[in-house]
Amino acid sequence: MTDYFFYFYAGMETMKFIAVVENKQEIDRIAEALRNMGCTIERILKRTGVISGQSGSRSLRDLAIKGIRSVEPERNVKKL
Amino acid sequence: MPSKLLDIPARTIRLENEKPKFTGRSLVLLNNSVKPVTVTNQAKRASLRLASSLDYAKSASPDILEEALSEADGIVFDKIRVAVLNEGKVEEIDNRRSDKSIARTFLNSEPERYVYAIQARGKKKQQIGFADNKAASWGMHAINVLSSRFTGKGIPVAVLDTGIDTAHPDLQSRIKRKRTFISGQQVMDLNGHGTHCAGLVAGFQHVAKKFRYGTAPGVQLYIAKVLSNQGVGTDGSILAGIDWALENKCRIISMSLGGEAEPGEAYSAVYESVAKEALASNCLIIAAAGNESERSNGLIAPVGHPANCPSIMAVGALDQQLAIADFSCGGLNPDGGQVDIAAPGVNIWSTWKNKGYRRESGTSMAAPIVAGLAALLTESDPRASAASTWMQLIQQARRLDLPATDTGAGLAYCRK
Repeated sequence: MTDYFFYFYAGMETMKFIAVVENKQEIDRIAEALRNMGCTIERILKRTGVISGQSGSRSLRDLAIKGIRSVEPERNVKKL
Repeated sequence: MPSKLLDIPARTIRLENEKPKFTGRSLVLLNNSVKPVTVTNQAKRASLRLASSLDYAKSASPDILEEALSEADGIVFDKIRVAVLNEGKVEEIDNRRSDKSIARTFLNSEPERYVYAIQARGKKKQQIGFADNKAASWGMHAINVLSSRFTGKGIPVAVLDTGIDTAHPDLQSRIKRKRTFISGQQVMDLNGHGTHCAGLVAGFQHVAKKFRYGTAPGVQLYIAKVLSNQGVGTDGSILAGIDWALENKCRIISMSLGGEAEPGEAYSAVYESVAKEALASNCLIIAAAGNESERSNGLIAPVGHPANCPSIMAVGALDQQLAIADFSCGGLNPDGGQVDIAAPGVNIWSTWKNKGYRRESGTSMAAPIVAGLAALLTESDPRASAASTWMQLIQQARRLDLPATDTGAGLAYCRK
């Protein structure tokens, strides 16, 4: 509920993100931590250490928790 | 063949390409150590009346040379110590060269030339272009693949795109594994783009025409549908496709996709991390540089995402004259963002959806051709690392008389 109101009043929209972890062995733990922050986790790619999902009410900066090497907005791509 | 001649008033001039070479006037080099007044006096001894450029410094005339030459036999440009003489006047000096004072003042003379804007280099190259013939498409000729004894036999190559026409007779037997990362859509390519790219990697010959258009027909194709049938996708689906390709131990990943990058924009740290992981896992990622340029309108767009990552090989497109394609992105952004190599990418024949064939243009076509070449190199030296294969592609490229920012090391070229 708190998260909902924060999201509503702050006017923040959920953002799709991609992130890569420092240590692939810990990817499940980090993904769980992001879930606990209100993120929706869509993919956990263990071979490459990538997590993708939606940020919920959080900013990208909030998602740069311990164990995340880099996080950035997910982009659209197209055939060239 | 005799040179064409053209008569213009008072002179006959040799022509090349309809452009006269000489004006009929003369340039005379003056001795630096001789004072201007001495030049004027020596000229008078040769019956010449010379004006000085200084006299016309405040002239309102848009062309002081024409004005001076209409009023005198010639004009002296004092700063650069050169005189321009009207037609027929230099002989007055040359006939008096036995006079040491005149010879010391007027050092030598030569005809004044017309000069012209230099034509674009591409004009000449249009005479030597590659063409499709009975044996192969022009792109296969350009990269010299017909001379190779390798086919990429057994090399696992992933093509991340709109899927593939799984029933296409040229490709069906070459598909080792396939998977979709697009929710609600099968691997079957209803767009055509993925089938075209897969054909450029692994197609061999047109069924009826026996016409070679694929680079490495012996490879095993791993098809990841990461773009929808509308030709769009997201980073998440592409990264999932790369992850899947690495799980399947693919040696090469070909990606004819991307998004625009802004001038000065940094590359994706996430993709760079993944690409480094791929190289460490002996897998080379090759991507299309992007099609956002309009060079004929003076616009060059930077290499797009994710080809702009330093650990992803970015491929530019060439036309049949081996000139850079009008649309091909350039290496503008610092710290990554360069074009690494170039390959045929204009009017390229390959497979299409519904068991078809067609020609397409784009850096999308260039990237899978380089991926096929990488497969040939990998077959020739299976123990070589992905980084080594990258280096071989660069070292074996045919150098082009084009900026490295457009074509990197040059035309991808088969030497094995």
